[in-house]
Amino acid sequence: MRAAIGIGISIVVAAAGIFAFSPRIPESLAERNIPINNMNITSLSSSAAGLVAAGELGHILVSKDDGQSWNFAEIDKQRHALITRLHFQNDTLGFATGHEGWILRTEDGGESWSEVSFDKERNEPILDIKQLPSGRWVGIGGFGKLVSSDDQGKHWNIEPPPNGTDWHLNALLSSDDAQSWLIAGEAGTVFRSLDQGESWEPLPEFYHGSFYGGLHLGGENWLLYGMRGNLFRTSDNGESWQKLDFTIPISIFAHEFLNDGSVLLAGQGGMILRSSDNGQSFQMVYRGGRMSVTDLQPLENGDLIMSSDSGVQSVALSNLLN
Amino acid sequence: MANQSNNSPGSFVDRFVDGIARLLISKRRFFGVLFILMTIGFSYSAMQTRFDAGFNKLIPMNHDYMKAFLDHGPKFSGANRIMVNLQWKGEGDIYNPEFMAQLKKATDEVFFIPGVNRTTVRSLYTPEVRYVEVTEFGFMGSEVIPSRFTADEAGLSAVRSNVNKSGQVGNLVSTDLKSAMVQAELLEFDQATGDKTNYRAVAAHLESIRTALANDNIEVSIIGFAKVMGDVMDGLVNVLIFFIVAFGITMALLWAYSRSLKLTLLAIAVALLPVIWLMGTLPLIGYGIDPMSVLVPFLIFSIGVSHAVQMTNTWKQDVLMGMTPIDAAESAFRKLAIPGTVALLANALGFMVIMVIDIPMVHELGVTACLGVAMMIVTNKMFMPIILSHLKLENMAFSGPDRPDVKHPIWWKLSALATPKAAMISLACMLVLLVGGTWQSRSLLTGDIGSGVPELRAESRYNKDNDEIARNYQIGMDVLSVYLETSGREEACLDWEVMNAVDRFDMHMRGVDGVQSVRTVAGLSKLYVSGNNEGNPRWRTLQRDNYALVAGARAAHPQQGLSDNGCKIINMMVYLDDHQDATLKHVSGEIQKYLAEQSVSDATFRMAGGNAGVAVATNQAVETAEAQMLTAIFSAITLLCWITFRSWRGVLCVVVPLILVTILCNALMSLLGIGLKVATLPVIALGVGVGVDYGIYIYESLQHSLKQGHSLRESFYEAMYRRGTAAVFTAVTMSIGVGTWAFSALKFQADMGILLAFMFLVNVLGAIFLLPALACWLDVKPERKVNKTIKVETSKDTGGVFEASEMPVK
Repeated sequence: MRAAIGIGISIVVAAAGIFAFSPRIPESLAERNIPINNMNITSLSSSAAGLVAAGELGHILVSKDDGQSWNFAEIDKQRHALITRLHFQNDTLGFATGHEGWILRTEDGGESWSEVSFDKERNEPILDIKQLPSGRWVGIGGFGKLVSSDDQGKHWNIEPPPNGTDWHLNALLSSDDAQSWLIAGEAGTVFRSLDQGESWEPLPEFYHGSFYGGLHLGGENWLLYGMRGNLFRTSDNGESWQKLDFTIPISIFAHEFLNDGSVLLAGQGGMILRSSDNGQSFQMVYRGGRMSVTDLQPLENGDLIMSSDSGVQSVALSNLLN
Repeated sequence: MANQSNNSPGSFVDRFVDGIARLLISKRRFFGVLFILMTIGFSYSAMQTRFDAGFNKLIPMNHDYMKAFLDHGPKFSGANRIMVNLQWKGEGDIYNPEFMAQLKKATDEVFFIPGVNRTTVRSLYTPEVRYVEVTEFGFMGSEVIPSRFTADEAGLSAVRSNVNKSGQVGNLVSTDLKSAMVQAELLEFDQATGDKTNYRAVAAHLESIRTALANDNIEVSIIGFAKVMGDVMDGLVNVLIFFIVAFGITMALLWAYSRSLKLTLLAIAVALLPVIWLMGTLPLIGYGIDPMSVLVPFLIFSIGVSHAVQMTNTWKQDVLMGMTPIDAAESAFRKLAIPGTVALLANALGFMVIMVIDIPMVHELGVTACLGVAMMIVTNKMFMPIILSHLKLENMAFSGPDRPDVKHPIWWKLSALATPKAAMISLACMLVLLVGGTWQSRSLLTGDIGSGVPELRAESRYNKDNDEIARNYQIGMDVLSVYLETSGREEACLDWEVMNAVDRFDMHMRGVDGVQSVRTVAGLSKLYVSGNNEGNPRWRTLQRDNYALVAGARAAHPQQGLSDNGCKIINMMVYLDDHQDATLKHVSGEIQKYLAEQSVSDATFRMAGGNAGVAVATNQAVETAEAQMLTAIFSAITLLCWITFRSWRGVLCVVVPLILVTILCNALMSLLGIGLKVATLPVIALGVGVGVDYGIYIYESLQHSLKQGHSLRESFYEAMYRRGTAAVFTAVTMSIGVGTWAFSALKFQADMGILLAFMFLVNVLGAIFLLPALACWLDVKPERKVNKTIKVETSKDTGGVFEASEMPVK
């Protein structure tokens, strides 16, 4: 009887030993996530599917919760080329343009995409895409690339570059009424169209550096932005341009209108500039570190989502407005 | 201590031992001179013993990861970089004349470090550090600090602006602009002399730079592999001091125990002999003393002392009984040859079992220790009787406190543990400890815990410097390298398929928890491509076209450390948040999972290098070895106990306390924040191997007394009276011998010291407090009335183990 207790205790100790030395599993870390805060996102948009972001390695991401969580969109042929721009015509029809002539098309707001153009022989990127009033779709890009589609973007044809240029064409801009158009490009390249984008004329060079984008400010007012803090404004549909007095030498890559009528610009140094006088002057309202902001998207909840070469971030708009 | 002998008079073993004993004593002159000559020879050879930081011996060579690491690791630079950081303590940032002057001085000093690759020295003052800006007219760039720099307001503000454009903030200049550093790579060989770069000299030189440059306004921090090596070597040499301290304390304890100066000196001298022999042997077999094997002399010395004590005690008892020193020496040899050797073999078992850990340094530790034990058998069992036969005991030693007629009060009280009530209390305490210990032991972590270099203490100067730099710069300290081997390609870095695979790996890893950043040739190449396009993020990509890939080809320069010449091997570097086991396991697991799904034509991914890659492999080796090692040591111990006692009760009485102590050791490790790693895993086996001696020693005596018909309590008292003091003495001596290590500058030596001291000390407590309680509740009983003739035989002090199988006569 007594021995039973001793044996029992011995068994307990042995069991404890086996338990103590059985494999110890360390606390586990979080599941792998899309590195949304550490990848190159070039463009943001919102659609019926929610918030859409795209960029590095041809990935397109969709968020249903204002950027809290993201999922990969479905792409029928993943080419791993950098996506340069998202453009939604309406809540459902949209395009994603990329390097190597890659164009993707969605009809469900960005949940699923199908390839409509890819040219692995010629590596020029398509950098912007818009629909002309005629119904024709036009894409522009690197080395004077010009493509067009007459069937709602299902098939694309290569067009000769405007005026035979081989500079990069960075942005395709239209006036609110889509009557006048501008193409902003590398090394001071600016083309203008006064016939709904059907024909293009080069504007005489007024700046030697590159323009990355621009915006129509109503009437005959336009703004172009480019490298090293260069901002140019015209009040006569591009006949004459005035350089704005802005001294911070950062390249600017993105703009956005806010509901209160003010305009935001953003670019290197994570900087956001704001103008409340229809683009006549800009003040720096936010500085986000070393990233280059590539796109802005205000949300209804009062946040401003920024995409950059180091991922997506958000700031409260109220921080920028006071 | 394990007292085991075959007592049947005519047995072969007995005759063998008798023969040797007679031979030894009759030819004692010859053997004495031989041993002395050997000692002189080994002493001479021991002078050649070299210290060896042994970093390359810490790698589990047979692990797949380490095969890849050994194949490719040395090709990529960066592993041997030193960084000298100056931190400005005054007002404002670094852009002031005083700081800039010191930074220039530091740059010059680093330039002249012996063994430094001068083309790799980088600081704001070196011409290779440039800034580039994109302008309307193309790229503009220049040196960050122009050659005509004067530290006036205009000059300083120009430098400030250049630094911002250079992208060096976070690299050569801290993010808070309060520090700047000088970086340089060391060469494997000194260019001037052609000798292997002497890291200790480099470390000393770095220390002199610190002294020269530090002042009230400027603090200097220095990190780099060479500095770690230097500090480890310094710590290793300081271990000698601990040996001297351990030596002194042991001597004092010995004198207190034996009260004879002669016996004290004899025991110490004899215990030192195997240490000298061992140190003399190491250079002959090409081994050096590394931070781990330096443990062996301590252990051998401690074990040697305890065995010498046994021998002198036996000899003393015989001399007190009236034998001549010569006869007593022969008799002592005869009595202790077998049990002593068995005990030493049990120790050797502990040393051998650690060799399941697949790490060269541990193998060397095992070999060195086994060698030491083998030598101890010769010196202790053969040389010692020869010296004893020449010895005359001084008078003081005769007046021992031993008075056999009165019961020793402490041991008698303690023997109450062999009665059911007290035993139950003891067992209840044990269960409490067991539950607490088991629970605590579950939070034991594998690998190195904490930040900084694991070899050194967290509060060491080096690790403080390391923290300082890690905090203020964007320089990753824990890197796991994955290698992509390509074949059949002219320039793999101009091959889109390869580069895209690297690119996708880069992005995938950025999403893994525990990854701080990723550096690959693809990522850098994309940055260069975008740089070529005015820094526009919309161009940060790799196109299929070869011509387009050339734009980023600078990323494939071998100096970037991301690929070798021609991109035969691409080194993808994953920087981790830390080197905790959880992070290592998670990240390496994620990499494996990802790579399993990848296939690139004519290219293979291989894991893993970098300090984190080594840590992953090491932790895996340690975890695999843990189970094997424990199973091996406990099976061996169980078998040994069974052979000794021929009783399952005896086995349980010895093994159960050992299990408890082993669990408690794990609990202690987790409490003290000591990880289960290469340095600490062997400790468990060593602790069990040495700790089992006490139990065997005491139970053997207890069994002997039980056979004479004494009650359990009487028998336990008898065991404690005869052997308790010696056991406690041994435990204390050995604990102190290794316990001095707790003060070592080297973290893992300190960890080993603390844990070994714990194992030695607590195992004796287990044998004293738990063994009788278990014996009581396992119903260990005296034998029935024993036959007279057997009693006469067994009454010789040597334990009568094998009589247990003999039938008692009714």
